[in-house]
Amino acid sequence: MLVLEDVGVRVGSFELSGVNLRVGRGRYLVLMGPTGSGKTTLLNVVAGLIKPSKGRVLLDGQDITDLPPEERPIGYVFQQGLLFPHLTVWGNVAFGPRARGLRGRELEERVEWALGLLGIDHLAGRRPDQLSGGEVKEVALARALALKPELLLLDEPLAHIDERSRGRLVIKLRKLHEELGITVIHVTHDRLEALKLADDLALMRDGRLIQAGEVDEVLSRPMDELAARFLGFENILRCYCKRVNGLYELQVGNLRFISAEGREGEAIMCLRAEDILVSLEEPRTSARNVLRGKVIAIEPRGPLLEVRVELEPRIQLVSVITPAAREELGIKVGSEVYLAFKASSIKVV
Amino acid sequence: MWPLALASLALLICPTLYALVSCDPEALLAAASDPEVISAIGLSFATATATALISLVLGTPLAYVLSRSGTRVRSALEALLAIPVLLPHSAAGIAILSLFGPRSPLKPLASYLVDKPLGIIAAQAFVSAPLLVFSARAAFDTVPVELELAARSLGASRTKVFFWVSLPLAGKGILAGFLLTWARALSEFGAVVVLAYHPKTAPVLVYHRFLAWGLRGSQPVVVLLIIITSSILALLAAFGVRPYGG
Repeated sequence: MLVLEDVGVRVGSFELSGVNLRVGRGRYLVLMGPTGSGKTTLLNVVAGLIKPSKGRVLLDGQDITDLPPEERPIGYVFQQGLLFPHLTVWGNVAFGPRARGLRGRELEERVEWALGLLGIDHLAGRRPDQLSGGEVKEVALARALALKPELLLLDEPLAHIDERSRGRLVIKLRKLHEELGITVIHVTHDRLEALKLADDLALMRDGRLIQAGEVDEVLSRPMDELAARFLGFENILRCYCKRVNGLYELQVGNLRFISAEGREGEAIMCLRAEDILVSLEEPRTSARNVLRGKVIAIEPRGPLLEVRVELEPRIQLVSVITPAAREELGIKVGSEVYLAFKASSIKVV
Repeated sequence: MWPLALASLALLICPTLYALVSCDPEALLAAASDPEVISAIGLSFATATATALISLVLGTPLAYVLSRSGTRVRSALEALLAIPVLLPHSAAGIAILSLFGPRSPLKPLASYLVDKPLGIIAAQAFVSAPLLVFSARAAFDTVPVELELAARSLGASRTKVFFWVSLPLAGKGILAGFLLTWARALSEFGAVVVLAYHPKTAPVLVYHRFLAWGLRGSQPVVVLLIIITSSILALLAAFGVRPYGG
């Protein structure tokens, strides 16, 4: 278990302060936040590359605050990859084990193991400048894992790579985490990426940790409006997915939604408030999803109004309307309304 | 542009070229087999090589520290290091000599330096080692600090990071600095002559012969040096190394 206790540090004009975080053994924590919120700084503190001026860092009960980075059982995959340009892929992956004193047969076996883990044995003889963006990330991952660390830090591992490699790497990350049972802290500003991988979610803003907890908990109870807005989807529901006639049927409670994307089994559906149309009469629309519900709250959101509609007990959707539309429709709390949205508006993760 | 370029090219190569064509082949052969000439050239090569090696061992760590220190500290220290390079070299020689002069606590060491190969090396190193430091510092500047941090996160101590990452990546620049220092040491006259007139290095011998026998007496040695220098340049170029840049 990794524990950060009231960690603070100043780097230039940026300040990280009062960070308290616990990451359970074997958990996959995704650390999210806008650019410049302090995510990388926090990783650097955990890795020991930046020494906190305040607070403590504990790993499995041992205080590692003052331990130099080379003595920490932590693997770090940097955002830019940072492969050693003068070494081959093999040499890069061998770097860590070699630094820890492995030689000969033992070293070879360890490098083969790490390359095999990522399925990149065929890249062993290449130089870093002969690799694609996705391959750089995979090699960096193999290099970090070659030390068999207890904790793996990933800084935007899926950024700057093409769509196909990204999909492949997500699958590999999930598999690695399951097989190795390693604790992971994964930094990203991409919420969908987070939802695909995370057990736990932590949100950062302006050098502070604003919320941390299990994914469901954080998603269903964003600490504040900013957290919710950062998560981007006002409507996040757990669902059961089934393929029907080339589309997907998502079951939430007794309700069924039709989605253009999906997969078989348990999933999470995300829907933006602005994609939901509100009306008093049953709308004449091509939208595949039309549902009836009761307005339980209307609250201002910037220049718009947020309308919260309960479809059945404990299942709510949030939509936005303009104040003019509210006047025209005469919607108030307690009104029975129709909600409509397209099958393509739903994101399934 | 072209006429100016041709003019400057002519100005720069004329002295060397004229010395080569005007030299009497027999006098050149005589110089090449003259034991005094051979031993002077040998001494120059030996001391310049020693100087370059010492500069490499002592200058590289200094260059690394400079590269990783703050801009202010670095520019202050580099200004100090530039002094021996920019000082008239006779003055540089006198500065070293005075360090071991009558009133200096280091005076007992003077007998190991004055008119000794060690003195030649000291004089050469004083004026040429800074070139290695500057060139190696610039090379270390191109090694990203992040790469070193990545190495440390992979379990490498500071020492291992230096030898496994920084040094190999800065290698080319350090080698260029090494050759520059070696070439500078080989050609050093002013500082050397102040510390050691004897045993004579090649530059000192040329000067000595010029004073004693005039132009005609010193020219064959000069031509011999031109031939050796250009052979070394050609040899280095064959290995892809260009100490004069490029």
